[in-house]
Amino acid sequence: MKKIIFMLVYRDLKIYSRSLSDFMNTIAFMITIVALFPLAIGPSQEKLNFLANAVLWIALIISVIPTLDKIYANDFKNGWLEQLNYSPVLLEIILLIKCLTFWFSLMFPILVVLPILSLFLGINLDLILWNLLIILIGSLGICLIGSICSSLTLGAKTGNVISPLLILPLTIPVLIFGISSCEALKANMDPYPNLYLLVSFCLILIILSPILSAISVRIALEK
Amino acid sequence: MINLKNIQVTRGAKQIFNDYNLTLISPGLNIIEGKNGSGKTTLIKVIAGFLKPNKGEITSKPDFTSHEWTQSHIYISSNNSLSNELSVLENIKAWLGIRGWVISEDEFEDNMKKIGIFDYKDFFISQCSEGIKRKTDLCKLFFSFKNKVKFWLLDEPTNNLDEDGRKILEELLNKFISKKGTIIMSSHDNKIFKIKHKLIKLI
Repeated sequence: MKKIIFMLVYRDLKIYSRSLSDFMNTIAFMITIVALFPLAIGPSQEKLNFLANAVLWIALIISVIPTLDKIYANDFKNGWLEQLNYSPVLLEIILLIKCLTFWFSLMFPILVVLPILSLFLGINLDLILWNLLIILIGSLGICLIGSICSSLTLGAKTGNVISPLLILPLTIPVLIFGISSCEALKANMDPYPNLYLLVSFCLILIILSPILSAISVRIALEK
Repeated sequence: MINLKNIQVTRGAKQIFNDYNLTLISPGLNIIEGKNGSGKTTLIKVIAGFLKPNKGEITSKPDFTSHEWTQSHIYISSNNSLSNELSVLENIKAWLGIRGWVISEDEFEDNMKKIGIFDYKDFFISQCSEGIKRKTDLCKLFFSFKNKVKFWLLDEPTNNLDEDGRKILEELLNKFISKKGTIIMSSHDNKIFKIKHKLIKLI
């Protein structure tokens, strides 16, 4: 089983490393949003400080959502998802591994850029590491939600339009708990209650997402 | 032995099969022939277990719904299950990897040479011709002899294959049948191979 899981991760990482432009688009989009925001709200540092966390989170969500349908779309088109059924490993586990590999590949370049963007928005240096950790957990939740939604729209001609619309409302809990814990840190308050809620939400998704995704993938393979 | 009894299959609004009965010869070659849209791929997908019939029963040994059945067959679809971002060799290794099959490097090399893709092993799939892609997909069949594969489900395997490729495929089919294997294959032309077979005509 270990060898099969290793092969799955190795294959997906290789594919993602060779289609870096997809992830670079995400980063470029994120940088654009963060760069435009201070210009839009004016030169007030106070306003920027007040909105910094919200801008970062919204930039993350908006730039990540369009890439989420790539978790399964290509593998569905080229027939790889069909072949995954022939693995001795459960499809649910395979899809969870695929989703985690995607999350890692997506977040690796984002985590490099985020500290720079945080400084740009005037976020305190001491808080940046904390923010990164919270965003990392939140982004896992977003990817797991994306896994469900992109598997639901597999084979649909308008999948790339429907999928973001499905993902958006489901990311609201991640956004609320994530921003709340970041804001609590900024106000020198206890960030743990919201952080625990965020972690709990992600843990629930780790169980639910592969099960729901596998059901959707099996239905899509009937097409 | 695989038996389909009174199966009814609909895809979208179209009814493909209604009260359809079929007994496949096992071991041996079964060729499904028919026009475009006659249901060749649908029938193979039903047998592979991807598509559940609305009505009817499928009996097979091992049991059609069991994990053993999934492990005992190889399904080669009409669109090659290959990733453009990976090389020919990496695609085959990934496929073997997810099935949990361990193959020596020598065996890899031998089989790739036999089917004529060894020179292309480091080419990305996006750089390969349709024929090489098909051969890469069919190369997977070579690895079934050492593993417990009893069935091959091949959806139009001769598409884009050159004369040499067809000869190699014919040899492969003969070898598999001699090892008591069962092949269910769709094709536009049942006379393509000189192998004794059961012909299933779909209208």
